[in-house]
Amino acid sequence: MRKHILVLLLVCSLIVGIGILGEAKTLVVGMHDDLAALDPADFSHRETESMLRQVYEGLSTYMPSREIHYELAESIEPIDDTTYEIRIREGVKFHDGTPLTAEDVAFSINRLIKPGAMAGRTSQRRGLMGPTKEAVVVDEHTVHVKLENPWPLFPRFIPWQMIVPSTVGDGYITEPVGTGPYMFEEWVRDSHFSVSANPNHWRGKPSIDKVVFRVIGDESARVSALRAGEIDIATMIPVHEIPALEADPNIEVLSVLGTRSYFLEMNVNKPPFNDVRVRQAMNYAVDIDTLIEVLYEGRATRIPFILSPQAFAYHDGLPFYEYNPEKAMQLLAEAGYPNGFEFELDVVDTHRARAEIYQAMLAVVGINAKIRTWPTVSAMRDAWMQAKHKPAEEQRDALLTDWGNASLDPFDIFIPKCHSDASGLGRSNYSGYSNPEVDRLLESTLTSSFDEERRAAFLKAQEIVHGDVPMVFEFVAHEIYGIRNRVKNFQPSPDGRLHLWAVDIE
Amino acid sequence: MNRYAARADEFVIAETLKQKLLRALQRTIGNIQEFWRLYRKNHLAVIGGAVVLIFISLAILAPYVTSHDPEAPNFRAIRRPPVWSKEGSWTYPLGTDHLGRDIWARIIYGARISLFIGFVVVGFATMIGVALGLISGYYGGRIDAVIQRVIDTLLAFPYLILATALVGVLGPGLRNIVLALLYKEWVYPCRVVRGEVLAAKEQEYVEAARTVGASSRHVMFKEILPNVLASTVVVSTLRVGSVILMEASLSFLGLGVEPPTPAWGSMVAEGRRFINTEWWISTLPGLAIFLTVLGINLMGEGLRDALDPKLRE
Amino acid sequence: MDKILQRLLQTIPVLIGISLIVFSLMHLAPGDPVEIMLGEVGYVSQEDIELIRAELGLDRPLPQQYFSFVAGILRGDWGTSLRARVSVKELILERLPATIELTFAAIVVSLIIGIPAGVLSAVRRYSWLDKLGTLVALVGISMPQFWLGLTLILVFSVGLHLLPGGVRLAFDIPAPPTVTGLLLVDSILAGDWAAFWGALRHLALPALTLGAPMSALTMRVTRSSMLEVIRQDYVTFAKAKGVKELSVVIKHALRNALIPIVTVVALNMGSLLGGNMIVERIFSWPGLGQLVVDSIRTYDYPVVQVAVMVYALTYVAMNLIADLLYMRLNPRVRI
Repeated sequence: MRKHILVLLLVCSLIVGIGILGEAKTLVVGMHDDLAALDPADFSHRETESMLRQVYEGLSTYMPSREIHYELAESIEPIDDTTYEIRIREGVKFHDGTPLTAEDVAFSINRLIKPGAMAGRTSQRRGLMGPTKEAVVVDEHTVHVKLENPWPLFPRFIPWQMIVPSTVGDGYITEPVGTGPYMFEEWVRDSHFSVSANPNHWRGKPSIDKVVFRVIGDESARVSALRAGEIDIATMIPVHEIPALEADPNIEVLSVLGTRSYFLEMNVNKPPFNDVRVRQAMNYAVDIDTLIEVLYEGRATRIPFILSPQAFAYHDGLPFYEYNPEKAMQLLAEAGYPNGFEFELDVVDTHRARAEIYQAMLAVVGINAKIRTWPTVSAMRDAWMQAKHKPAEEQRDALLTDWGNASLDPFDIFIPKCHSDASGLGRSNYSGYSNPEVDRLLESTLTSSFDEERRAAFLKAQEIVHGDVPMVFEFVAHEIYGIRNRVKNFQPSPDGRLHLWAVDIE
Repeated sequence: MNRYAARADEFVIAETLKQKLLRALQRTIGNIQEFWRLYRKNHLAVIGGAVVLIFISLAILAPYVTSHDPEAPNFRAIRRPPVWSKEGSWTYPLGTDHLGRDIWARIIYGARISLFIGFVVVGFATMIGVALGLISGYYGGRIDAVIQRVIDTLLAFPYLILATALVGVLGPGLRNIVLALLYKEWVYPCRVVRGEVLAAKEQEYVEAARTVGASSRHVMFKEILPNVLASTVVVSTLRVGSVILMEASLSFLGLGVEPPTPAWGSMVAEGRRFINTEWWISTLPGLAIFLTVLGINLMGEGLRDALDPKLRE
Repeated sequence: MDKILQRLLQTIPVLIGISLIVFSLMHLAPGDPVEIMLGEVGYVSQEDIELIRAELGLDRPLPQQYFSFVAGILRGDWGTSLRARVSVKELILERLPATIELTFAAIVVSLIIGIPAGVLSAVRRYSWLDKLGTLVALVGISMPQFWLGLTLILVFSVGLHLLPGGVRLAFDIPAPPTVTGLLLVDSILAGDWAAFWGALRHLALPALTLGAPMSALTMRVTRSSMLEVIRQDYVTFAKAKGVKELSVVIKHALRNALIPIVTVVALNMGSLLGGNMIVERIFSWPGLGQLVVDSIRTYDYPVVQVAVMVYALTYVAMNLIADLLYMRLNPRVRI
């Protein structure tokens, strides 16, 4: 008898549960990674931005087409070489009802650049603000941003920052209150982040009532959840799952060229890679097209240098080093390595397959790559950082790596990777590549106010570095999203932004 | 003393020596026969021993058992199914992995790593553990207290967490894995030996040896050690299985031997991505770990029954 | 009383040893914490890096860092995660309930499987059933847990769609209000049977995976302590009285055999906790084990230090309790 009551209760609660769910339009997004923090000034992590951007807005944002659209700004214009004037959209309210003012905007910018502004700590996003010095309130809807030196990239980098109310003071934000299309509901770490529609959004109430971001780190589980209809959008679909998903009539697979470039950096200060012919031989010896086929079933775009084809100042005239093992062996012989050589190949554990492919291909021309795996990128980078200060023979040989370039401006990939100042501009230049001409060209792009001047400098620098080949150039991977057919108007972005205001579900 | 007498003496000495040797040999053979008689009674132990033997021979004879290079990818034969599935073929009896490498070849070459680490770690650990256990148990007092506190400290850390953290510090690679596992592994034989020594100390023959005035080293090595050997062998055998599991877990977490050297744990980890589409890549290497460890454990049980009847129940 | 005091004193060097190992492990590890925090920020000056280093207290000498680490632990100030930028305490307290729930479920699984199997083996000693039991127990401890977990997912989730292969609760079931953090308990308190059923289904495969080796152990202990009890007089006496065998076994023998079983279970909590690293990873279970693995891999050493401390201290505490109880029950025991 008791058992029956239990079953009855269960059925009832199930029905009630389904009933509640049926009323509201809820979109469930399966994310491959969790938020790092709830504070928009306290992370350097793409997925955190994807989610927090529902609650917070920037002065402007990147659209899937890579155009910049204003959000909280009405205009961002330079008024002299080192000052930008920001006009702020009127009538915007934070989720708690207080109106957005110039003070909030100035506060948000200053919070990012002032040392120790958040509970005594400095924002990790400070680097993305370049030489920004200070933001000052001019009137209720105008803010002036002062720069240390001319920096034409300001409008292109400001979409990476979000605006918070000035009431947060000097602590960390734990209860996000923004101006975005959705209001923060709850975050259960490693489980989900949920938001509900903001009825007072300046663009109007979004069509969906509630968005839930579920964290499903395991890619097979994420795909299973999508197929079972537990989630509507899944990020980072592995290529080998695509055929089954495409065969499912309820699922659509969308793909977008990402912003992460993959390459191998060789230590140009240490034999054998100090010889340009050896570095060229490396490029000829690795069959990038096959690598892409094996790892991504073709879903990656080969690049002749480290810049994405979508990046500003991408040089489309640079030739690929086409696979040619004979030529590689000939170059090795000329360089004095007729029988090849041995070197240590550093790689992060998650990329071991890529390293194994390299190893097999290099073996064909007589090069013996010994793989050294590292548990994380930071551990590997740190080992390289420390080795930089040692004599060449104690340094490391080569590392297989990748670099995110979400801004798609060479500024935060080309300069850190190829400028010679290892403790400054070239902070991530592991190859030790140094060319005064390239340094000069790259530095000129920092202060030039004209796109055409910058483009010309970047193009010239690309030609030089492409000839000096401190790297084996590989590809930019595609990012694959799986969506249920009931989701309408969803368009993936190269930089992982999820524009959900216009998205609807049937 | 004349030459003949000396010769006769020599002869007598040689004869007694010969007889002594013969008797010792007979005793050994008798012991082995007795051991085998007891061991054989346990059918599961025989099967377990056979499984272990098969894996050891496969590991040694690997190049003759497969023509594939376990480390060489074939980019035109990626993720092929095993022979029993519809699209399978005998070229790749257990299919291929995500880089087109033969899984059968990788499993049998992978046995080398697993078995090597299992036996080497337990071997060294037993040497260290027996030495420290004898010292700790025999002398007692302050030295015993120190060793026991060190053991207590090490036991407080879950094995896998300690090993993971250590490999994280030392870096991957065969040598570092062995070191990371040894860091705690010696504790187990040490505790067993200490316990046996404490028990043996109470027994008459040690008392007797001591009253006769035998040196402590003599007592330790000649009187106690042979008696603790049986239980050490049993415990060590069973530990080999645990160490193999531990190494597999480390490899599974990405802290095993460097690629492309095949290790069972990392094969499972790499194949895990394909569990929705190609289950065999991760399942079959896991099966190899399971069978090997089961074989070793069955063997250990058999040894326990045969060598040390008092350990039963 | 002296013995108890002596036993308590013995834990002090152990605690110091634990703190030393934990501290030195992470400070020997490669990976500059500042680099870890900064990630892929392209444009950071050396001064900024030094600034952050000083903010984290990493510019001080090692012994000083060790003492402030120990003092912090004692004060309850456990530091801040490098990666998640929240207090380590918050992070760990958040993860603890999931691990506790899984651990207890695994213990329950091991008792449900282990005790009846052990009793059966003991009663039918040397029968084929006993041999089968021994074999199954060996199978239980011989399976790599990651493989067992994956195989269960492959069969029950991917293949049969019977049981979920990850996380604590399906998303479309709202979680009950948090009281204890244990979903099963909370859903009972809230009278939310849908959540209870959901949580139970999600718990099934991970608990089975984690409990498998433990069941084997429980079975063997049950078997041997049952055999011991059965040999004793009062059971023989009860049998002679003609009481039915099964009821003898349950009423007399099992009740008396339970003490060693409970002791062994308690003492093995420690190793069970170690196994959850793997099981939580396989089943995306948001517990302490996953936190430790992730933190070791990312060199988030403030988290690793404290989490490993939690494991070690749990073990020490369980051991101490078991020993003290034993001494209390059996005053002749010497250590």
